[in-house]
Amino acid sequence: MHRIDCPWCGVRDEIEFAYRGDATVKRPEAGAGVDAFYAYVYERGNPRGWHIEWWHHAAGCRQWIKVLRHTLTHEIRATAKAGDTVTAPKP
Amino acid sequence: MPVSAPEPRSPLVQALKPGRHGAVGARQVTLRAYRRSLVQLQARKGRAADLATAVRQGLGLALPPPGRAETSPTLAAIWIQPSAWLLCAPYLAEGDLARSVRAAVGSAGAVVDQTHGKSVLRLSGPTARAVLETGCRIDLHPRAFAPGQAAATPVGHIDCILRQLDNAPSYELIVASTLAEAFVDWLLHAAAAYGCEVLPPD
Amino acid sequence: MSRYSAFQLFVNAFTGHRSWPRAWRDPAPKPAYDVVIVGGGGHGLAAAYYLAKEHGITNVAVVEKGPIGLGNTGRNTTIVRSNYMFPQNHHFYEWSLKLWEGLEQDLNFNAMVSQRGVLGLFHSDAQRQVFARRGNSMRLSGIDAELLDRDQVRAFVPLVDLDNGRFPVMGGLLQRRGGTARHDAVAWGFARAADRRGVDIIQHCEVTGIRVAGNRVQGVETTRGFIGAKKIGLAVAGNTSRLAQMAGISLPIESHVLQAFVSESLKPMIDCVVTFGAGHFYISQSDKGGLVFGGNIDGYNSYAQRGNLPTVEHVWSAGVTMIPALSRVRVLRQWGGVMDMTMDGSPIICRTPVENLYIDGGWCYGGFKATPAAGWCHAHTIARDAPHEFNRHFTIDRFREGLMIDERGAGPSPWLQ
Ligand SMILES: Cc1cc2nc3c(=O)[nH]c(=O)nc-3n(C[C@H](O)[C@H](O)[C@H](O)COP(=O)(O)OP(=O)(O)OC[C@H]3O[C@@H](n4cnc5c(N)ncnc54)[C@H](O)[C@@H]3O)c2cc1C
Ligand SMILES: [Zn+2]
Repeated sequence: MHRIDCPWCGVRDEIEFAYRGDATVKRPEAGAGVDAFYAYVYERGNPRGWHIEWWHHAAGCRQWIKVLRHTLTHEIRATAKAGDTVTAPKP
Repeated sequence: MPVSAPEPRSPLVQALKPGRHGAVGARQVTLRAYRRSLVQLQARKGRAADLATAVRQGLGLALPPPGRAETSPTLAAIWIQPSAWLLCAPYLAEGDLARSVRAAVGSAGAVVDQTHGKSVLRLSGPTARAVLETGCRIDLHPRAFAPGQAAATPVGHIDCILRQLDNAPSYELIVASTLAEAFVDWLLHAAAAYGCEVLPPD
Repeated sequence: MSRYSAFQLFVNAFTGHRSWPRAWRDPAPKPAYDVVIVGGGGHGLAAAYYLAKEHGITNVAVVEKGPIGLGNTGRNTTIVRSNYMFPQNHHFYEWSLKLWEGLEQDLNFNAMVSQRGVLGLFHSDAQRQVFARRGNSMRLSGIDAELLDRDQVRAFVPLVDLDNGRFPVMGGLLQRRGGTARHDAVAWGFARAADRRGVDIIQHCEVTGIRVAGNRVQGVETTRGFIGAKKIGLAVAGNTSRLAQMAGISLPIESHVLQAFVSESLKPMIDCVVTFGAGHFYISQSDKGGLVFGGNIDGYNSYAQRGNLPTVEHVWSAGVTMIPALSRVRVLRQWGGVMDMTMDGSPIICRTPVENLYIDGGWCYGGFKATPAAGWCHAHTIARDAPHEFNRHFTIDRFREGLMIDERGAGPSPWLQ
């Protein structure tokens, strides 16, 4: 069971959140070209290990937060506000 | 500005019949619908400090930090999300609270009337916590949750703004009016084992 | 190795069924093969079988990190159907269903293919329109589909609560030729048939790298040493993006977990596959009597072969809404499988930017039904270095070209597909 420590609300059950995917993808500059936009929209690192991802606290404070979670063990190592930086441990 | 019905009519008038529900016993809870004026107040960008000052001076209340509620004799403010609060006061007339809050905060905050949109209930009594625990996933034990604390969290699968009022304990439960009937249906089931006295609406 | 037959069954009864020959060999890897298939699930074994059978390529190894068939092949809820909306999918899945219909004779193996009918319920006028449209689209491609009204649904699955207050049932879309098959038997059947044609099935051999020189594959690095290969096919459901990364290819895939459940054995109560249209729930009953059911993916990236409780609650409550009798059923087992979720919910069977490297992946939660045709098309693509008409649309390039096959219309949010 994922228990996610919302930086605003404290520890809450996974059921209060909506998953919103990989938080490391960055929208390219407008003129970056088709390849950059293709990679941004479709390609994902999809690691088996630490993953920095968006969760939307939909049933709580309605904020998007960043979560550092392990995709094999489901361990959650850190959470942060949307604008904060989260770094994944070296594999 | 009235948009649909001039008077907020809670769906609970139909759903919540005064009287006894469930088991007959001493350790019961009471449930009551409250007629409240509600507004959502959101700080304009970069104006959070101005808003806090305006609310303190104009409405006599300190805006609470995350997870908390502040009250004055006539008004409650509940933190609901960053830089946003739900304000709650006894209903006097259509748009009353929104008008007075708007006058107090000026351009420092955005005010949205929620009076028709949300319904307010109170669950109170020695087993109130046990009732809520059947459908609420946050820890309501006194060491973790006390009067003055508030949380937005699903209760019985319905998104709810929950705050503890006193050590009876009493909890205020604010849900979307469109879901209030389903919510009360669930709540009465949850309370049936303890016995529940529904009081006439406030 | 002898053919399985009623006579063999009779003869072996005399020795207490202790003298059956082993169903497939356990060879040590050769230094090199014409084709190495990575992944010993149904898809990989089927690809090897059809390489040998249809294309005469028998110097083939299937390299599996564990025992065969314990990935998604052994974890799925065994539904077989071809009731898709889009023409790009029609011919492929219909070909798969046709292969299922003759599979047991072809493999000389009882895969317990049971065309018991797959019924999807609808609960509103709008949903009826969508289902009717899908049914019509199928019929235009020569695939069987029937729109049932309420009374017909009642007759078909009497236990469904047609009048539940929240989601009353208005009818359903039925594919009678759809049904189930025995998942393990599918892997075993393909393994035995491939082995008999000379394919080496190498178990407990994990691929840890793909050797590429001059943009052309050379072979695979494994826990049992390097194995040379002229061509390599990946059939590693759930791990496709990891294996592709070993060859420097980035894919439009996320790995997600899907759960399934089996109840205690019960007397026959559901003799078809039925799907709830107002929540994520589907159910059938196995020949042992267990109710086999599931719902949607958990909805977050995961390589764990287990899921979490919110999905359990969601699935069970939807089930009880659809069939109230389920509320007293006890669940015996529950597990999860890791699936490649693509950005449009449709699969990938194609060549890759690396020469002689091929991919069969991206099956989301629906690749079991595809097992025969995916293996067949994968084999064709490897043998000819070009896709067959049936898998022509299942490319990686479709995303770049704007030719997504998005049956759900969910867009590039794999957790919603
Ligand atoms: C709970 C659940 C229910 C499902 N229900 C249905 C359904 O009802 N109908 C349907 O059509 N589909 C269903 N599916 C989807 C279906 O199971 C899969 O799409 C299908 O089985 C994929 O087959 P496969 O042979 O490609 O995968 P798998 O059987 O998973 O085979 C892949 C193999 O690759 C091996 N492997 C991985 N990495 C390596 C490596 N590095 N080296 C060597 N070997 C490796 C794995 O061990 C595994 O054995 C369901 C899936 C799940 C999880
Ligand atoms: Zn929160």
